[in-house]
Amino acid sequence: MLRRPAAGLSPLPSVLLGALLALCGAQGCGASNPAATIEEARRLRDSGRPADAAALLADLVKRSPRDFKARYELALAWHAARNEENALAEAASAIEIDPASPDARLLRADVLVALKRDDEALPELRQVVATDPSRPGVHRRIGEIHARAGRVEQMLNQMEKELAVNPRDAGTLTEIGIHSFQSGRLDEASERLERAVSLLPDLARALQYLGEVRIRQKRYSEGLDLQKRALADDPGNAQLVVNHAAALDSYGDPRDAETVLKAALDRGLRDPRIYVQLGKHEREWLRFDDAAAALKRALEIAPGNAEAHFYLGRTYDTQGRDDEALREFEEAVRLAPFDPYAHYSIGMILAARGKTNEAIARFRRSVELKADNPKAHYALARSLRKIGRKEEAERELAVHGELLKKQRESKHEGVATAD
Amino acid sequence: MRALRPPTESRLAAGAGTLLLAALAAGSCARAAAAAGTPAPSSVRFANMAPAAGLTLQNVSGEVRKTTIDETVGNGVCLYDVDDDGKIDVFLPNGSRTRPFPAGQEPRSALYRNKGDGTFEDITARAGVAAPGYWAQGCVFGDYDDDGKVDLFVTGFGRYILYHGLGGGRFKDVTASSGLKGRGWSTGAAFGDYDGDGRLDLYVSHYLDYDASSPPLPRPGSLKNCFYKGAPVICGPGGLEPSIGHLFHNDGNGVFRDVTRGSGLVTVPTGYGLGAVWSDLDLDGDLDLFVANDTTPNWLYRNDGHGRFTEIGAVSGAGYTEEGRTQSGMGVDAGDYDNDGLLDLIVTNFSHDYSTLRHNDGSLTFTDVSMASGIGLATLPTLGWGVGFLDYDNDGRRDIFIANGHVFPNIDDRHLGTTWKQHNQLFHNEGDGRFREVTNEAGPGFQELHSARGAAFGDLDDDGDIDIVVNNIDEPPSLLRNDGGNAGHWIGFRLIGGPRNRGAVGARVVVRAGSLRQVEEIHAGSSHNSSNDPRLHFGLGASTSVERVEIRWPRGPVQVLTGLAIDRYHTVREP
Repeated sequence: MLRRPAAGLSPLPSVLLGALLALCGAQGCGASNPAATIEEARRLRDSGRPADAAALLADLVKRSPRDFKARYELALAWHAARNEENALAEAASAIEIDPASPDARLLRADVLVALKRDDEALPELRQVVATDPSRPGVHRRIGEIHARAGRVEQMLNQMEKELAVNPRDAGTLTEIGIHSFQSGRLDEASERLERAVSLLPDLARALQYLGEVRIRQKRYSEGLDLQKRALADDPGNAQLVVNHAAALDSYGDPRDAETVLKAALDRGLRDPRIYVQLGKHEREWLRFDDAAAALKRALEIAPGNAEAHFYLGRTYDTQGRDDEALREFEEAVRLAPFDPYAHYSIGMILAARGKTNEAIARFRRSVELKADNPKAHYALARSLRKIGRKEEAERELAVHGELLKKQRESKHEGVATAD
Repeated sequence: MRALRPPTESRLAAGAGTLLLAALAAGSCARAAAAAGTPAPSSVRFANMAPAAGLTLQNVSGEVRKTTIDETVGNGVCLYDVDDDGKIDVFLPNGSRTRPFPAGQEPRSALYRNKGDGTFEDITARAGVAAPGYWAQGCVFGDYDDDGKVDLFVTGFGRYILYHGLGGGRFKDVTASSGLKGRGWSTGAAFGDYDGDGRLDLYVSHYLDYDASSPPLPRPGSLKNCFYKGAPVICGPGGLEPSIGHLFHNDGNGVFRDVTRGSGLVTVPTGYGLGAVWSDLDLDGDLDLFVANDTTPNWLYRNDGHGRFTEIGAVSGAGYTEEGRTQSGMGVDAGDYDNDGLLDLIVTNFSHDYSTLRHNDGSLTFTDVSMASGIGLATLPTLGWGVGFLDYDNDGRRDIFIANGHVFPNIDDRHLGTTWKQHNQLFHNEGDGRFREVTNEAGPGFQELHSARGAAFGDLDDDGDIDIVVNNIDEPPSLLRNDGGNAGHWIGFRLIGGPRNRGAVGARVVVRAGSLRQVEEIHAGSSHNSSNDPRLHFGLGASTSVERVEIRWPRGPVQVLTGLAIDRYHTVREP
């Protein structure tokens, strides 16, 4: 009996396939030509019908249970059909038939990763490396597992090994480049991501991060262009939409930022991050009612979005609606208790209401959470001074002064604005 | 001015056209102004009378296509009755450029004599204050030698100029013998007797450590600080070398001595100084000093009464915004907007930031009330320079004027909600701590777009309301004549001190009329590179009498006057 494919089996081909299988069963075509069956299954899998492929192969496996190739191909088909449990069972069977097969172990590792069982995948991959150290793709897979576990050094080590055996792997170059970017090593990031893009010009992830690198390097127009290309290849990437719009707001034409955000919404990308960015954009243009509307929309989709609550609070605060602002900041703190800015914002409203001691508690919490925020130190100093604790206030002011000085030194603009 | 006809119909029509264009051109500035489009509190209108009045000096501020910061700060305006004929005259310092002019075509500053009929006569040549080719910035009038003839101090690049008043509107350059040696880039200057010896001392703000002898300023985008929202722009001031302000003690006999070191003033170049104002902010009888710094903390100097200062900007709340941020401080004024007897502070700042109104809470502590007052939100799109507290409608409450214009001529291309040319802004004091923008209702003078810089305030037509002169970068100035401000009653004072400090700079006048109790001080130097009509003007609203006038002369006696007539200026001599 054939198992029902998990996905990808369209009704009409199923009927045809059933007829084909019945005919093969009657005439013994599968038994007489397993290579043709496997070839047909691969074709089905590659053309986006992995479940059909699995059905075909399952019949073959039934007839030849010790056929490694049939088991392996069946596991591949289930994996492609995202039926990972079946894939895992078939991969295990293939390994049992040929324990030395790196292909089967690699496949089992991939299936385990898909099942989020990284710890079990890792030994399999290590066995593959032991058997075939120069096999492309294995170190990258190990590196990805390390990355997910936050083991950055091991990740990098594996990625570099991957590049040693597979120097033209754009994916690995991209991941190393991204790590360099996130570590602030812009030149390294730039070099790796440029290579990735030269190997695969449409690799959206590489384009996205090379764009980020260029913006940090103050090569703004290049950065914006790369982000635009990435977005063309990956229009469903909400984070990319948000980053691109933010960059356009800061370094390009802010009207384009609005276009990008609204186009994403028109494409049906109803991601709260996009509404939050739209809210920020409207704030920049001093359209506070529109900003509030966008942020509220974000909250309709994701009521627990702390950032949306925070920016809605800021918007109300700017409009002088401090009761509503306070409510939003309180909600932001409830959702993200470690957000120093929300605590600070609550403190500012309390301080303005003369609740100095309560404000001080908030400012202290904000400083605990982010010691290098000059605003919180300044606000704390002002409140401390108000209740006569002048020495403590002086200390906080000194910290504020030092932090401002550092901020000025790192600033890339020669003017001071409220941005 | 009284003698001039009100705007004709065709002029009004042109004004309306300008409004439309302005609205289109100014993007969100215009939208922000439109948002303030509730009915005007009075029928006061301002019209730009400068062309008709003969105030036509073409401002020069470097090249029109600006590439360095020295071309962007622009000039101030100074008002004084220089020839003692009872009418307020106008001095306009002018800039220059690095590229040489053909001989005889160098730009010059200009002194305009008020003829009293609504027009002005250019008396620069005979006054001796042209300084052709000198790249000036600011100015301030004051009688430093107490000879009864007003003198003029001019700031700019490379040196100062001190003009000794000879009387009759004539001056002589006495800089060389005055001890006022300055190099670099000087900006806002203010006279004040800080040590109570009766002589006018002088504080001069300095901006960058730069003048014609310095290496060229960096070009747009050439340093890390030469960017704005991603685009290469004129560099600075951040990233360029700041300079220090100088305090000059008036030793008498026409000689000043630089006493900056040892006075308690900041001597490490850490601030880009622009506006400066002397004011007794803590009511202890001596003049404190407030300096607006660009991108760096403002300085508030507490005077200990013996000529020693302590910088208390941070602890006082005057150095930073309520969030502890530095701003791009440009112009400054001190005035009591809430009639509580303490002078408050306003500082103009960059676009995408707000002009900062600081309430004086007493004991030299200030609270940033910009947002709560309504000034903050309305000034976010604009880049402010000249500023003043003025009671333009004589209702007994000080309103606020701000002269606006951006520093980046290419800002229009960026669509950031701000523009190179902007509307000036007028805010009506609603009396409850809030201001309402009335720019759109304030007449055709407020519909014009300029890149404005310095602004000075005074009653140029002696009709009892305050007019405004604005210096516009690369253009002739604007003379915003106040029409209708004198519908409410008023009283004004010209104070003559003596034997020293003849201009009574620092004198404080309290006027009680009905429920109103107002206070003003005589300042010599404020706003942006500017100084105002030295007469004090008080709107009285509906009050038809003044019960009591109290004059606290600088370091001198308190004089009480009663039974004064209203709707006129009174000349009062120190007893």
